[in-house]
Amino acid sequence: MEKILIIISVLCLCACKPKLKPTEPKAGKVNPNNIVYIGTNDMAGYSDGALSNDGQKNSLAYLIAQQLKNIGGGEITQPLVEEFYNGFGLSNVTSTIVTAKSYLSNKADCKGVVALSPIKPNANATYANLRASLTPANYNNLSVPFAKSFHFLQPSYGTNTSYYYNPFFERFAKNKNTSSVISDAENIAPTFFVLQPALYDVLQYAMNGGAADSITNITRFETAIDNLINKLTANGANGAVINVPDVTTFPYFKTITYNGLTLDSAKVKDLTLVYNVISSGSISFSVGANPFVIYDASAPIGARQIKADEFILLNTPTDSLKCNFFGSLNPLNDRNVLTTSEINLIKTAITKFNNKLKSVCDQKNLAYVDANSFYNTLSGGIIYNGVTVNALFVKGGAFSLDGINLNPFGNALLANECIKAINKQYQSNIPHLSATNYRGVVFP
Amino acid sequence: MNSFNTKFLYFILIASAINYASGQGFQVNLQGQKQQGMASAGSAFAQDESSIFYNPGTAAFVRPGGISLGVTPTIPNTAFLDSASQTITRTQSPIGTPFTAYALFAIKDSSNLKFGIGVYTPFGSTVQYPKAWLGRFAITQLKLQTIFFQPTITYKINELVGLGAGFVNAIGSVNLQKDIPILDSLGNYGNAELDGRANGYGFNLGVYVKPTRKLSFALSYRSQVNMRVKFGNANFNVAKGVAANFPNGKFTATLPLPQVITFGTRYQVNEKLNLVADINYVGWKAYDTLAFDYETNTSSLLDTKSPRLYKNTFAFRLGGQYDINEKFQARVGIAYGISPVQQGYVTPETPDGNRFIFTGGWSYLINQHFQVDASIYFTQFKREAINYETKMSGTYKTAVVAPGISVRYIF
Repeated sequence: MEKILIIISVLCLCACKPKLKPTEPKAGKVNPNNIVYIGTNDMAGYSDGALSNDGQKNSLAYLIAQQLKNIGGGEITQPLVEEFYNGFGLSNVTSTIVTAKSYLSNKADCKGVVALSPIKPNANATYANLRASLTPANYNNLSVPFAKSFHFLQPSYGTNTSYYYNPFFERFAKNKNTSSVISDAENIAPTFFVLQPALYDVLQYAMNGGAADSITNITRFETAIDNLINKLTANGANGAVINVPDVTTFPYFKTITYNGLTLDSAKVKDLTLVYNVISSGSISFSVGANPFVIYDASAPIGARQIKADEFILLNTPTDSLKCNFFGSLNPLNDRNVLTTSEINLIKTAITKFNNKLKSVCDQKNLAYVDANSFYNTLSGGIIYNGVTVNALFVKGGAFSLDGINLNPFGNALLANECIKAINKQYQSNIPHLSATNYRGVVFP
Repeated sequence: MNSFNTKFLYFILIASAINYASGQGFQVNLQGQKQQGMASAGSAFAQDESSIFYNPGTAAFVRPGGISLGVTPTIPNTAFLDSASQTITRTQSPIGTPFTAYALFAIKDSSNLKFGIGVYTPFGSTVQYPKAWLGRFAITQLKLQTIFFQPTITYKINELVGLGAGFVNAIGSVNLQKDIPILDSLGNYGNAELDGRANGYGFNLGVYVKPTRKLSFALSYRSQVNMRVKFGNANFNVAKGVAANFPNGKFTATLPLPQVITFGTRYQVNEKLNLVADINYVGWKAYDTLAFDYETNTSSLLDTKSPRLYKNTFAFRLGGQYDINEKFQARVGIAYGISPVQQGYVTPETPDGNRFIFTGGWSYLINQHFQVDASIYFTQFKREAINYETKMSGTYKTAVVAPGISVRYIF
């Protein structure tokens, strides 16, 4: 009897812990001694329309760094925003008005319809707070929101009087009078780098509806990339380069439908009366859904109806669309719209940029992270450990409330793409993040 | 800002109710300590009242009859190694307690007709994963309980052949929980709980043939039992701002418990040694789809149909019983079970795989009226799997120990 009890106990003990052995992490050809992270918004932790402490602690760079620790990578040091501030948000790099990060809440629109909308609280930080230099440190996340490829090379990029100036870099530049992002990076003597060099080379233009800013000239782009990569690899460092996604898949461009102008017969009559005279029939309306009217200098009367494959941007005031004849009596402005020709410019540039990045990676044996393919897949929908995510605004679950930058969950998915590319290129074995540990959209 | 509706198409309830621990898929063969000691073979071995379950035809040859009560605490443990993150999750499932109660009696001692009743719990396990585990949006807990009541009539036609038939009335309950990927402002994810009572009907037929004293055969057929949940409660707990999309309400669902055809044989090697072998053919194909039909649908809460696509399968069982003396018997058994779950459809609540089963057991006859039977069951199996529906991918390893005991009063 005793023997039987002993056997049962032993069996129970064995059975209690079925053994599974995880694959040992392996560095491969990754030298994790000094890792540097250079990129723009996602890499810096700019999310929900602002750079914030919370966003930085879920930045793409931070998340990649957590996994690189498995192969001996050190702690990531980031120029953290003080927790007290509710965000350093700028509408563009030259703006001096700081806005807070958004949160999601129920809000009544001009028609009294209550729906979930991103809300921006009043900012508790000023532009001076944003510019205030942090204690100098050897930050190894040197990512700067809004930076373009050639900006990373600009000396005095953190100097307020420079032609190319970025207050986010002024915050943490080693020497705000002279530093460039790349000189601060060289100062660390990186053995490995993660570089996201080119997002804003098209994104800034796209976010302005093609009305301001310009896409980086390809020659300038290629020179900048060669310089960046040459400097980063000068001492034999390996690294990963994140390519440029098709930014037009972002919810910022895909949320407002082109034919959201809903008209009843009275309104159709009114609008027809107005446009019949001036457009001689080129703009017409019918009861139900209609395409919005936009300004277009190339149209015969300087305005036309938007086409199904053109985009209305999230910078468009939607209450004006619903209640103030914006997009009908008052055509939408150039800055609110991406037209076919603008979209083509963007897509062509992205293809060229990515061709360049791919060929540099091939030449220098760098890991090529195909973020473009990731975002394309995302817009069709990804199922990840039982969660379906896609590129829809708010309900898609991967993008933050600015419709441009990913939320922490989205960043974790993209971080895994980076890790995949590194593992493939350098025969390393870096485990992926368990992405569901990182928050998606927060609901009220 | 644009007005957003709050349709969340990604809420797909997937679930299945399976006791993966002690038999492939749903099939459990912990319904008699003597059989359990021989890897759950022994349908052609007329020894005690548990033949009511294993083969009602065999029960005709059990004499004189009696009453037995048994319990088999089942200790399942599953570990999951996520292939992407290389992290390991261990289940926190409590011990299951399947029990059996049988009574078999004849109106007159000399009668060839016997009546019996079997009460047994073919499912009784809970699969529970830790809070916030990486598969939380697929499943966090599945608790399934069933009790089968089987009144049985069995008739010994002559010294060669016995026939038996039982009617099965099954009752049960299911409780399924998972998280919903909607985060509230306090950092909590939503949660769904489906809770319901189920019932179903079936039957159990068997024929027993004993051509010689040394040799016997058994063929039994246990029908499919469709467990229907008619007015289950679906409760959702999500961020207030979107709660209207997840109305609490009723749901219906059906879970098929498959038919089983068993062919068994017993051969008496000598006065002390008996060998038994059983083959089960299990009609798992019935479990094609798991569907939940919600009384109140919204754009976020649609009726769901999850493909399961199980296949029919076999289990092979071998066992032996040795009479040490007048009072003591010892048993061993080995079985091999083929999983009905196809690659691509393995779920965290059914990390099923092909497995070997090892068992042992003994009996002690205290006096002419009382007997104690005990058994121990052990299995361990591993399954590398990706699930098409949730895209979860990794390796499951499960180990189960089930020590059981029963007491028997012999008329």
